[in-house]
Order: sequence, then structure tokens, then C-alpha cells
Amino acid sequence: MLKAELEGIVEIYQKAKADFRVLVGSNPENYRVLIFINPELHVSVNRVVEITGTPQAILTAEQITNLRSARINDFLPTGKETVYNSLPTLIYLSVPSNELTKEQELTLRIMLIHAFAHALMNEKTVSNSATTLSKLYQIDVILKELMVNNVFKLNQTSENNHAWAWQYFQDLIGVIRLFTESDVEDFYTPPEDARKYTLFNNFSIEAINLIRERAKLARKKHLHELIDEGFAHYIQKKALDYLLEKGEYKLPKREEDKQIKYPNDLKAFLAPPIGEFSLAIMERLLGKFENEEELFEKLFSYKSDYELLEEFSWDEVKDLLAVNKNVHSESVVETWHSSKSRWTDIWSVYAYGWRQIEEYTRKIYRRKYSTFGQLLDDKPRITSKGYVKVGQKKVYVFEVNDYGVGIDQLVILHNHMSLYRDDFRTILPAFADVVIFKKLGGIHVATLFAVHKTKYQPLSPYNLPIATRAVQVTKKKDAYKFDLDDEKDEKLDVTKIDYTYLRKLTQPQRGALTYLIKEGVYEL
Amino acid sequence: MPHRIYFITEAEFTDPLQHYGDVEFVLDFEDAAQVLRLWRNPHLGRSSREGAVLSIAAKNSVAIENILQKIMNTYLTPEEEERLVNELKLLRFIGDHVLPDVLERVNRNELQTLEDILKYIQDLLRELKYEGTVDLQQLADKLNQLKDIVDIEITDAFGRKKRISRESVMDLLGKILGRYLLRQISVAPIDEIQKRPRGTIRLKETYKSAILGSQTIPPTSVKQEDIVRVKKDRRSLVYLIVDMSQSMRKTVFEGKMSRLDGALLTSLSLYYYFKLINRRKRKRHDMFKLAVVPIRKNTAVIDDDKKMEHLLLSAEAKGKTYMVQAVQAAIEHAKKQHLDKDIDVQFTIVTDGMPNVPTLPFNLRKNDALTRYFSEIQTKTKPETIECLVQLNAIFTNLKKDRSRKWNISYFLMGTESLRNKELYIHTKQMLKGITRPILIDPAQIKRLGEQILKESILYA
Repeated sequence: MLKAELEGIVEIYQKAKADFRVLVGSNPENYRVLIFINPELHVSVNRVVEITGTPQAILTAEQITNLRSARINDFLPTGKETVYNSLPTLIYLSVPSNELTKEQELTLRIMLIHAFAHALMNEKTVSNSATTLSKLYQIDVILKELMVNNVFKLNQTSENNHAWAWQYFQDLIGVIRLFTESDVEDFYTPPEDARKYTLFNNFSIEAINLIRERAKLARKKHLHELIDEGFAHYIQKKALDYLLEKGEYKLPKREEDKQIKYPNDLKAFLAPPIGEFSLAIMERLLGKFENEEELFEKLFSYKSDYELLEEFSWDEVKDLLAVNKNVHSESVVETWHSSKSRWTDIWSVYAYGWRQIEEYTRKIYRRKYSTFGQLLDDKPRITSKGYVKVGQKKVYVFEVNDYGVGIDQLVILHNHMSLYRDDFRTILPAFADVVIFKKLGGIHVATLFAVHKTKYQPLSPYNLPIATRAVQVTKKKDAYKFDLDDEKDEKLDVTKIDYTYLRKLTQPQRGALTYLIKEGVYEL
Repeated sequence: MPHRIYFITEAEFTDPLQHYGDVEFVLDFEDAAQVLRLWRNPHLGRSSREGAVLSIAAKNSVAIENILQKIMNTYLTPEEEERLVNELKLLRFIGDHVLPDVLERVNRNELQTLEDILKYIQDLLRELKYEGTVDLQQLADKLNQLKDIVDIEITDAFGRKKRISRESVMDLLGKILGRYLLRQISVAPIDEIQKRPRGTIRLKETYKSAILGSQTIPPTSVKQEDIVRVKKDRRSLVYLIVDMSQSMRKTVFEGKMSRLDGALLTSLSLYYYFKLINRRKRKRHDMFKLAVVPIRKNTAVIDDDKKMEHLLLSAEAKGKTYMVQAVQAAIEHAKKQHLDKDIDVQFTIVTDGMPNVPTLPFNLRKNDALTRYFSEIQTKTKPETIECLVQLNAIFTNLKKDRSRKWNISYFLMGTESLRNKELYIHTKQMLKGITRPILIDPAQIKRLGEQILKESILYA
């Protein structure tokens, strides 16, 4: 029954394939198209790709909560197409309405051609980008399976239902992924022979090994975004011109300036800065070659964006950025946004997009970055800042950036401290107490998690007596001088605090840290 | 390559943004005590308030990130676009200007109650009035999320966290505790009773008599005469008379929980237990009704949610034990209820001492034997306490004689087994002679108090 309904789509698909052959000369062979009947699902997948880099990666509970809250408020972008540049290329589409109008037909056709371009690039390129992404995808699928099976098994074998298990494993994987990717040295792995003791040990060893493999692969992945997008946008533009010229579709023109009014759903392809810029690069590059074939061959032969940008001088790149940003600023607001909105409000959003591209190109051009690992090291998601010794124990200090893991998740780390706590039996790693610096919007905050000794048998890894505190990291003079505290009675007078194992902290950070240690670490 | 079409269900391709493990919140009695403490004292729980600020901040920054993407990537109607641009401005303003300030104030313990927050919001709006950077009305709406800061954070036995607003604390706690009790004990085991158009059948009894008749397990047949029917449902009024004198301030076992906390939570759990039971069975009227009568100077019968909430928030363990007065208040209250119906009244008294404030004037006939007992023994017990015990005895005896309704009395004494040799226990036992017997409950077992009360008094009375 559904097959009949999909016939319209298949027809367009065949047409798009034929168009592609005409435009490029050959068709990609290795791709999958996944059409979502439930558009919400597509939005979710799109967000997961955006955040973690692959469609199957496990999100932490906090990421899910925040995204769900954004979804309820209708803040999530509802793209119609998501392309995952692996081999086979994965093309995710939201199902268009039953009866396609001419405009929708054109949109779908262009979207498919765009996706085919990605697929062709992934097949032909010499860069390791596509193959790495497909390996990452596989690892993420395995991790997910592993997690599902373990949660199931854990719930099956134990008497009380471990309602926490699912979230726990999600968070565990999220946190370990973060630490491993950013190569934080202090991370602890259980020894191989711990495997036989519990299911949980076995799981964590497996998971850590997989995540480690994943991190290694991900770090080696070539930076390939400009080439991918450039090629796809170039073909897409060609296709659009070709189809309109053929006269198969008639698009209305706007009254003010007689510009063609493109279908609404093509906004995701025509408006964002990345398309604008990468297309400009392609066009400039074309000038350097005899014909298109040569350009395509050249594009396939680049390993990374750095090699692409190297074709130009830095002044040329800067010029490309500046000129196109300017041109973009003149047209995009009028073309794609309502006349009611203020220009500055909208343009600031695009300017933000341009800033990201500028930063990216500058980094890879000036510092000659060609892999994802290099880019990551430049601004790691989490960095270790050493530790503070309070009496006998260590309080580890980290700095997390915006896109890093949520603060809540770090509670997981507590669980890893049972090296010295013998009441909860996992032998996992090992940050008993942590201080995290993190910027959240306008707040630069320092958070402490300290774990007390339990007097009872914890029912779950979350069921620990935890002292948490959070203060701002500020330069203000009177900061950290508040008079406190109602809950003081249990506080231990810590006399031996050793700050010598810390590294690279700013003065305000030190202030916040000292305050937190004094206020929060007691009776451990 | 020709195309092929496969179909995948949502079970195979699950939504990555799905929350798993979203199951019932399991709250321990001690956790509940902690919640009660936080609820009663808004000055506690700063770290949870700090956490709340951070989680608002995190949520906001995720929202901002997504709105940016949405404006660039998704086709928007003018109205939608206007909304998003406004949201973006507001979220940025809140993230950059409001939240840092709020965090600092929370650090300083300046934002502890809902009133504090509301005042803060008002002041902020007044300050911004002349700047004109954002739409104040919308900002005001958005700032309402700051109210979450003073919500109470509860952590269940599995460590999962949940934030609840102050208004809903009682309901949530009560439901959790009530349900917990329900799981332990069911006053009317539903699975044993079948409602039929021609009456109610008690399955267990039926089964039993069938076994007796056929001498085999399982019984070969259930004959008509085996079927045992319930004649009628009696309605019950339950009065939980709870000690709130000074001695209830003592803490029980290691934790910080006091006897009063235990008593309050037990009251709440029983109150909700009956509320839940009543809701379970579809009846025209409530089978059970529970009222709490705190033993304190100003006696009052707590019989609705509002009074209950007030009691939970304001109860203090102080002063003498006005038990006689409390019992009298309960009787008065009970006599006014359902005059037309034949109902049971259950008095459940929970105390950790003896009453010590007699009521005057006292007109009921006192028991000579009890008076004689007290006059004959050597005792350190104060005369007013003895007077109280005699009065109580007279009241109870009088109730037992009352034919208009059935009065049940059960009496719980908080204390360890060693109490059996003490005057407290012996006197109480004497006083209750011919009425009921005192039941000792270990304060360390206070979390099982509700269960015990149900078992020993209401079920098998």
C-alpha cells in the first residue's frame, strides 16, 4: 500500500538520477536513501548528527533533556534532508506530502541531486573522510547494541529493576567518549582480567576499547567539509539552472526586483553561508582549470580542505570570505526572510555562521590543519588542569567548553572512584571529586562535585551522598566573600590543601577553586 | 543499480531523543523525610538552587544554538520568524545578563523563596524599563522560569532526580508514600472480591469452603452454597491522633530524621493511602476517611488537603501532651459526621509518652478500679498525668458503651522493648484495660509505622 504512495517519489528519484547523469556524466552507486514518514524522527537524527558527528551515536541524558525541551518550544531546525557522508552515503529525507505540487517536485529533485553529489564525492575521493565516517557509524551501532544488551541483561539478572541502568550507560558512554576524544590522560581503564567478574566490568572494558578505537579513527579523519559542500552546491546550482532553463518548472518572480522566487523548502540549500562560500570557492577554482572535468578530478584528488585552500593565497581566501559575506548580506535577508523582521536581527544570525567559517578556514590555512584531531586539539572539548590535594585525596580539575558534556553527567565520574570507596562495586575509573570550569552563555561557572562516604548500601551508581556547589568565575573583588552557611555543621576543617599540582589556571579560576574547596570538600 | 524499497518500523529505528528508563519514582521514607525538611525550611538546599540555575543556563544555550540553525535552515512564516527572533533576543539577554546575577544571588543565599524570586523579577523589570533593549512583557513571561530555582529537588532511591514545585510537594510525597503503603497492605484486597450484579462474592472464602466441601485442592467444584457473599460495606472514619509534644523532637537512628518527621510522614502517607483507596474503588461515597488530630495546645481536626498542608509546614514538636483534649476533639468531630448512617469510627493514637494536661470540667463517670490502682501504688508519675489517664479511660469506656456507632481504639507507644518494664507502659496498659492493649513500636522502625498502624488497628481490629 505504502509502495503505491511512494511511486511519486520514485518517479522524481529516477528523474533526478537522469539529470545527474546529464550534468556530471556518471551516477553514484553506493548510497542509501532513508525516508522518514514521521518528520520528528528526522529532526532527531539531524540533531544527533549535528552534535555527535554520526547518526547512531549515543547522547547523554542531559543532551536529550535539553534537546527535548527545545523541541517542545519548537526551536529545532526542521531540515528536509540530512546527508551523512559515509560510504555508503546515507541520505535522510522527510517524506514529502502525498500529492506533490510542481514546486515540491522541483525541491525533491534538487535535494536528491544535491545528495547524489555528496554520494559521488564519497565514492571518488582519495580522502579518508568517507571511509572513516562509515567506520565511526559502525562503531556507534555496535556501542548502541552493546548498551541495549547490557541494560537488558542487567535488568534480567538482578532482582530489583535497575531503572537507572539505561541513563547510566548513556552517560557513561557520553563521558568516556568526551574524555577519550580529547585525550585526557588521567582516565582510568579497568584491567583486562577484571572482565570475568561482572557483566558490568565486561561491558565497560568493551565500551572503553570501542570508544578508544573510535576516538583514534575520528582524530585521523580528514577535514573535508568545504570540498563536500562545495561540490554538492556546485552541482546543485548547475541542476537548478538546468531544470529552469529546460522550462519544466516555472518559478514565479518577485515583484520588487524580478528575482526568481525559489521554493521555500530549498532554503536550507540556498540560504546558509556554508553553501554560499563553498560555491564561491568552486567557481573561483574553476577559473584555474580548463574545464569542469578537470575541476572534478582535482576535487576528488584533494585529501583535505587544507589542500583545497592551498590553491589560493591567504589574501585570496580572505578576499573570498569578505566579498561573499558582503554579497550575502545584501541579498539573503530580503530573499529568505519576512519584510517585517529587522535586518540586523536576521543578519546577525548569518554573520554568526560566517564567523564560524572564517574561524575554520583561518585555522586550517594558517596552521595547516588537515585532520579532525588537529582541529580538536586546538580547542579541546575538555582539558585536564591537574588536581588539588585535600588531605589524602585528590580533587581533579577540568575545563569543559560549550559543546562538551553536561555538568550533570560528570556525576558518572563519581562512580568511577570506587577505587578508594569500597561500598559500590565497580572497578571503574577514578575521579573521586571534580571541579569543572564551564562557560554557559554569559556565565563562566565553576562547579564542584564531592562525594561523601556512604552510610548505606547504594542502590544505584547515582545514589551517592554528593555535595555539589557552583559559583561564578569572576574578577570581581568581593567575589567569594559571602557569609555562609546553614548547612555548615558537618564541615571538616581541612588544613592540608596542596595546590601545587594545578596547571594553567587564570587568577579568577584560582579564586573560585579555592572557594569551592573550602566550602564544599568536607568529610569525605 | 535498480532501486529497492524496504520498510523499517519505528521499533527498529528508535527516536534518539527518546527518554528511556522513565519509570515510577521510588522514594524511600528517609528521602521523603529529607524532602519534608527542605520543604519546611526554604533556607536549606542552596546547592540544588545553584544546580537549577546551571540547568536553566544549559537549556538556554542549547535553545539558542538551535534557533540560530533554524533561522538559517528552515523556511519560516513571518509570525514564526518574529517569534524566534524574539526568543533569541530574550534567551541571550537572560543568559548573558540575568543568570550570572541570579547565580551570584543564589550563592549569597538571597534567593530562597518564591517571594524572593518574584521580587527580584519585579526589580529587574523596573530597572530595565528605561533601557528598551528587550520586550519587557515577554521578558517577564520568560523570567517566570526562574521560579524553578526554588523548586525542591528530590532524589529517589535510584538516584534519579526530579524537581517539584513547592505547591505540589505534598501531593507528590503523599502519593508516593500512599502508594508505597498500598503496595504493602491493601485494606480491601480487591482480587478477593468480585462485584456481581447480584451482590459481592468473597473469592477467598468461597474457595475455602469449596475445598472444605470437596476435600481436595483444588476443589473439584464450587457449589452455590459455597459462595460467600459480603452483606454490606461499612463506612469507616479513621482518626489518627498524633503526639506533637516536645519529646517528639528526639531523632531516630543515625539520620537527621526526628520522631516528629516520622509522625508527620506517617500521617501524610495514611491520609493519601485512604485517598487513593477511595479513588480506586468506584463508589458513590468514600469508604474510608482519615483525619489527623495533632496532640497540641490548640486542638484541631485536620480533614482536608489545605489543613494537612498547613500542618506539615508548621508542625513543631513542643509543649505538653494535650491528649485528652485531642481525643475529645476527635469525638466531637466524629459525632457530627454521617448522622444518618451506621459507621465505624477508628481512633489510632500514636504517642511517645503519657498525657499530662487534664481537661476541666470533666463529667463522665471515672473508673473506680483504675483510681484505686493509682492510689495504691508507689509512683513518680505526676498527679496530673494520673488524672489524665483516668479521664482517658473514662472517655474510652464511654465510647465502647455507645450503641449509635462502633468505636474502635488502638494505642501505639513509641519506644523499644525495654519500655515494657517502665511505668509508662504499665500505666498505659492499666488505663487501656478492657478497651484495647498498647502496641509498642520501635522508633527506629518508624518508616514502617504506617504499615503497622494499618495492620494492627484498622485491618484486624
